[in-house]
Amino acid sequence: MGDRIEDRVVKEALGRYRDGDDGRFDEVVEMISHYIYNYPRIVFGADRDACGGFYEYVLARMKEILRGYRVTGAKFLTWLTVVLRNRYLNYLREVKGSGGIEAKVRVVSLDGEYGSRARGGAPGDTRSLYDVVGDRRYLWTEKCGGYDELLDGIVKNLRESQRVYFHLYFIDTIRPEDMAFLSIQLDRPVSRILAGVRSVRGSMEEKYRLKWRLEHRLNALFFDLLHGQRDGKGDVVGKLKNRQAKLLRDYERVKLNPSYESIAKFLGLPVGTVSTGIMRMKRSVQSRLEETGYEKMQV
Amino acid sequence: MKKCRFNDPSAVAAYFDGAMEPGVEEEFGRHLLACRECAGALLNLERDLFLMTTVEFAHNPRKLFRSQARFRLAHGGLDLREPAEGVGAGGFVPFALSPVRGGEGGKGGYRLLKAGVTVDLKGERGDTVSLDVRGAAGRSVFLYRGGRLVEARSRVEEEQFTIDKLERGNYLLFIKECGAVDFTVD
Repeated sequence: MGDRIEDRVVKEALGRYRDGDDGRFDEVVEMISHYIYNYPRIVFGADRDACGGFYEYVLARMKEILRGYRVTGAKFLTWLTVVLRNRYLNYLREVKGSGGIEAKVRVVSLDGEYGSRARGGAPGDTRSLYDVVGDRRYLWTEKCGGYDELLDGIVKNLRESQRVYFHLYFIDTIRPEDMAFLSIQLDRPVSRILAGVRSVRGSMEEKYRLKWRLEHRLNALFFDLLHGQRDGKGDVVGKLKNRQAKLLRDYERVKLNPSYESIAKFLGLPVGTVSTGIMRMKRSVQSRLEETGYEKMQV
Repeated sequence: MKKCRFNDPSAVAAYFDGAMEPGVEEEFGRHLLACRECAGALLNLERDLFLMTTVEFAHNPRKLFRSQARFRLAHGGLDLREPAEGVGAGGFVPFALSPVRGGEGGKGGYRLLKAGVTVDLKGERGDTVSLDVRGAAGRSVFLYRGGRLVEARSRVEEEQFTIDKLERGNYLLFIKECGAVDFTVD
């Protein structure tokens, strides 16, 4: 999909606006309005109302935000993305208040939720490690406890080389301290680790898109089901449930793990070595999970 | 607690895009090994940018531009009648064409720049006008005249295209997920 905002064009308009051409303000806002609106939806899984609320929140502070921009060699979009995350967290605190909010940070998908819902389980009842590490994390620290504890337990149990595979294969497990670990372990500067993570994640573009589309279809189907149940259309509901079950299977089948090739390329190792390493890593993780009571969790 | 001097959007963005001075970049790189906050900001940025460039955008219902204008087609050129020139930020603004070799400068036309899309309306010989659209690649563009569809382009591939020989009338240029330009040529 590429960048949605042409860097040169937006920087030029922004430069003129900052030089006193007030007419350029609208132009800049027009260029970035879709990006702002979609940011909470795509990154945090916010609904339409929250997206609209955040859009207006940013718009009201836009002049102040743009004043903070310093022209550097970095892309405007990169800078804007950092700013939007900070602003969205402020927005949540200001608008909703931080006490007891379970604002979820969408990392990838809705696997855990759909999985447990479909199986009639309680929230948080997951059967796959993938559901935990590849999916949702809670924003506030008290909710991160279990997740971090689980990761710490796994990571401590792994040999250093296996830990490298673990972070690259379950790419959303990388925490700040893990980046330092990877940098030291692979003897590369952090900038190269970051570039490597980008390229490994880049191998999953198509999977992300597919998963996103399936999630939308599941959402739409969920509302159709609700309407069908409300209107007492038993036959329609039955068909919809079958479709939902099939879609859910498709959804769960798309695993957001990067290709072995992308990991091998980053590490400079043969694909066969990487695939064996990942297999061993999975085995170690599985045994650790069994020790800690997650007997049924699949890696 | 003292705020980390690197934890600033400009610094994080510059490091991410490899746009820092070499010395500063090296220093920041060392700092990242110890600073959880900055390393976290970079990891979030990596993931956010990936998602924002991978997942399809939804239409922003709160933002669709719509411009209206009325022109008079005189001999060899266009004049803006409504709204008056210079009134209304973001509306049509006049522009001049580069001079043709051996002749005088072109009379030009009017330009509308919205949401990264540029629409140029120019008078042509033979009492018709032409429409130049730039920056609409990937979008669907429809042109209606008097409510009837006269041009449809589904997912424009080229960066710029022209629709010419447009006679006087009331037009609506609709650029999907972007906006609409409603203009009349008298």
